[in-house]
Amino acid sequence: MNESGSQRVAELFQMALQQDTADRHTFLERECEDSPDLLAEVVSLLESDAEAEQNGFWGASAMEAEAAGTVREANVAGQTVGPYKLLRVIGSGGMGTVCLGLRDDAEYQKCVAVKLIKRGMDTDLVVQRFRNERQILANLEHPNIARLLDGGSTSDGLPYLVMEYIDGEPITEYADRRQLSTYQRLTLFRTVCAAVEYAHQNLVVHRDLKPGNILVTSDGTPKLLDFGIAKLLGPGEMDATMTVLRFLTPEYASPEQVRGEPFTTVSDIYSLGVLLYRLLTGHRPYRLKSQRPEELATAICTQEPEKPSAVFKRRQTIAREKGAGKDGGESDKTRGRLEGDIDNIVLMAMRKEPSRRYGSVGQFSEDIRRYLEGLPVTAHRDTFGYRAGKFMGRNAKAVAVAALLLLSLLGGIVGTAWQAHVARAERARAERRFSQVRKLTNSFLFEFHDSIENIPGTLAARQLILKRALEYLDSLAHEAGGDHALQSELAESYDRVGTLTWDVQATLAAHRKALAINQELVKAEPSNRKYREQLSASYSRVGAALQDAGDTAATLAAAHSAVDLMMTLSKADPGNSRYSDELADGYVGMGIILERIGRVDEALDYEYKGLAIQQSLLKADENAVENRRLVMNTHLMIARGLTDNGEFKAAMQETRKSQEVAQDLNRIDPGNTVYQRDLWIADMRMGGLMLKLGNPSGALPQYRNGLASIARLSAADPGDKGHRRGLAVTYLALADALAELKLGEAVENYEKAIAISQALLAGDPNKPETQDDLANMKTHLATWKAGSGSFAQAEELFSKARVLLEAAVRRDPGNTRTQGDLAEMYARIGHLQATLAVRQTTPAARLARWRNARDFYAKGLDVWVGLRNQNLLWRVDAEKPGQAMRAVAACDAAIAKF
Amino acid sequence: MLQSPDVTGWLIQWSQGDESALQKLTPVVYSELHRLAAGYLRNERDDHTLQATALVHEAYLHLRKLDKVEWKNRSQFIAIAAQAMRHILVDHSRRRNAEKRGGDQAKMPLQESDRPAKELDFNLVVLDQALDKLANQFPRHARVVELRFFGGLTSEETAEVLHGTEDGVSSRTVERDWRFARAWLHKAMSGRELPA
Repeated sequence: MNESGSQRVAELFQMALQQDTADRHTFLERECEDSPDLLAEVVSLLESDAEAEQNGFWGASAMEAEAAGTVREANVAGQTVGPYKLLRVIGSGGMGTVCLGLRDDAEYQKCVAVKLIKRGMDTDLVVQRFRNERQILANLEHPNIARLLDGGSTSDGLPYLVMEYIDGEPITEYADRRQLSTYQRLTLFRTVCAAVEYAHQNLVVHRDLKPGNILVTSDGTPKLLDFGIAKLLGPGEMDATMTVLRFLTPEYASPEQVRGEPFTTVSDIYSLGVLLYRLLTGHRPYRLKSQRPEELATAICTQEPEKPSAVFKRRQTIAREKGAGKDGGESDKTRGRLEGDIDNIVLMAMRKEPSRRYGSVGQFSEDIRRYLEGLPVTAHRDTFGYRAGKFMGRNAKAVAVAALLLLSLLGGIVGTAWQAHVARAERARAERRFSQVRKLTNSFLFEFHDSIENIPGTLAARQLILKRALEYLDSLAHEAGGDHALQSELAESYDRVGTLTWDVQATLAAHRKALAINQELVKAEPSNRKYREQLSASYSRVGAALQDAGDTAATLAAAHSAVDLMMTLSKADPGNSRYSDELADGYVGMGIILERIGRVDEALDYEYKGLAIQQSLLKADENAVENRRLVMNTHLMIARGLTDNGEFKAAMQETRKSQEVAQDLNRIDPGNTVYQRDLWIADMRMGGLMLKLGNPSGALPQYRNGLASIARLSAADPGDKGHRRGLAVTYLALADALAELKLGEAVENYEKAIAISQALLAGDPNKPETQDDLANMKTHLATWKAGSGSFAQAEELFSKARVLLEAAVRRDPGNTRTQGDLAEMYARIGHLQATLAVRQTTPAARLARWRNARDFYAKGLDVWVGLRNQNLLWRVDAEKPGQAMRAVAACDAAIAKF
Repeated sequence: MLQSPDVTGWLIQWSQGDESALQKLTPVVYSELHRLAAGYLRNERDDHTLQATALVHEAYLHLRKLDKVEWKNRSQFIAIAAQAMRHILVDHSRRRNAEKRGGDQAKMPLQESDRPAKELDFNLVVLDQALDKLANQFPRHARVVELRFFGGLTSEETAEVLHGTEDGVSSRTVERDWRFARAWLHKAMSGRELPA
């Protein structure tokens, strides 16, 4: 534009501003009659003027703008939020600030996006919503969905959310910058659809789909951010419209969202439609005169978008004129046939009435697939049915009145007939209703749940079903009264829910309800064997659930009750092999629990009793593989008890017996993974015993055999976390043997073990056994490091392991194995401190180290003495308190010299 | 801060083409910038807009008080100071962005986009480039932006400064120029082209 042209633009801009808003356009059209370019330029500047007015950037001075920018970063760098260290701001907006954060603690190291919610949003409400939703959101595991990892509130009381960090660019920018073809755009879009569909199957609606929430990484993978976040941060039902306009990007909001009506999965379909429109045409669907949200809101609710193909054609023409054919690969003829289809698809997704859009994202995506493959699509233009519907809508009142009349007529007939029957039929009616609810519950539980159980992505739906089922059961239990058969059925259903449910406490609660019913039943009919069996099984289930919940003491009580019941049943019917089997199982189970809490002799008693029964059962049927395995397992358990008692030779004999069975079973059926696992366990135990007997070079081949088995198992099914854990534990054992032999190879094996465990923990951060494993691995590696002179590394590893182990002991104080591990670790740290004390150059530093050493030895001593006072000290550890006491005394002597 | 008696001298040197003089001035402006930033941190949102404006003015009053030399043309001094501010602040912004991006110029990933993503590109570096373009077509408007936005002057003060030049204008004209320039820059910085 030449200089006079420029001046004219400025002049018209000023003049237009002096007009009333309504008259501006007419004024400009008149002034720019001959120059559409000039008109467009001025109109565009007026739009920018309106935007700039809203934008805080222009409200201040450069110094302020820069200071604010500085603050945004200075404010976060180096701060921590929960376990996350904030590194820098990566974005900010209406809801708050998003920072790049780093999780770096004893557990794992990981880059995350931390979303700090702005002050002024209702903190309690947001945190409360987050708690309600976190499990569902955290369960969204999909390669195209950025995971919600954590959340809470900062020390200042600001709520925050932690998400997987995605390094990518908004999908529209990605598509434009890479100049993707229509085909590529549609394919990319279908990947997005698959992710949204997955979330919908888990009953999570996004509510704020837009390019900024769909990032594409450099390898072309789209990742959806902020699933369900809008709901966490969103308003209540009040004032929804205004809030939608304020918080969401209205451009992608559906008419029902703008109107403040309920969100559904179909609202997401609308937003996806707008996104597809934008991806295909490069333009927004609505033509607006201003940038005002109100105008956009009105357009969303009333304006029909222009056909994408028309917009696209215009763009293509322009592109061709410029000599840059973006979609050169496709012939115009093909396009001609398909144009109508893609218009119909996009416009169907974007229909104003939710009920007239695609029923699911899957259908939407499927239609695109059909389009891509040249098949007829299901989307179509408005039909007669639609127009008839419109009529119904316009005449809703009349239709409603007619329906009401019909209903009251029916109600009258039914009502009269009913009253005549009421007195006589009261009882029958109640029973009928009851059986209906029962049927419904059962079909919910046993049929519906089972039918979707193996469909990936239905976890949230199953959780909901189980929750509803529990509610039904509770209401049934309330009405079951004295009907024993019914109560028994109810108990069974509770147990069923308990086994299916997802959460430790929920499982426990359901099994406990079943237990209470079974207790009542046995009390009511003491001679009924079936009820006693049920009660025994019920105790076992509660026991197992208690064990999962980490309550060893209560587990023991439950297991005891189960065994007692089974014992009386078996005594009354000695020939019943099922009872014998269950009893043996109960004995061994008791042994396992007792061994864990340090009552080793009692444990061995139970295990020998169990073994005797199992052996007699095996004698009756030599080929029963299951019985052979039971015997093999019990030998291992006995070996474990003997090991605790320091009777290593006897333990080795028992282990050898189970190793032989395992080898034999593997010979018979080499491909059987269960037998491979059995052999792995036996090899590991054997290696462990050899190590204890001071024979590391004998342990090494055992461990190497074990490694071969478990590596094969883990490779066959990489998703099996049990095998992954096994692999980690095997590396640990191997490393220990190598360390005993002073072979440097130990370090890499420790590191492998730690890496696997850390990955497992990242997937399941609250799993106690993984935490315990990691603590042990770090302790052992630290011991190696200390022994090889890498003191700083050793100290760091010890301190991480300490955090984990101390937490483990707090979590399950009845577990003597963990307590022993902790005491052992304190001794190792004490030893390291003492070693370091000698190396210090100044007396003050030496004194400090000696004091540290004394503190740790003393802590260990406390644990050992505590165990001994409760009679829980394993015989193998009998010397430990004395050793610890001597170590403390030695430290005291060293300290006294200062 | 601003205790240095040499501010005026440095400004003169810089206006005469001595680039190193600007470097001497930079710490003075930076410390003011960080004082301002600290103010942001301490105060609630509603206060600091007002306070910051006051602080910027205070900074200028200081600069003017330091004016020991009798300037032949006071307006010239302020104009040069505003230009210096532009250079220093834009440079600060550029460094900050470079740090933020870990040194490379790759596009920042935006996790949040409640507002249009492009708003995040509203920094002084982008403004600086747009302002150069504006100056090609509308030199007076660009000068108004420099004085008002970078110099932190009011419309009256801006008019006063421009009075002594060939652009001599009223404060109302300054207001109008500012509004046009703001729209023009906003459009340029948003990178928004006219819809087809």
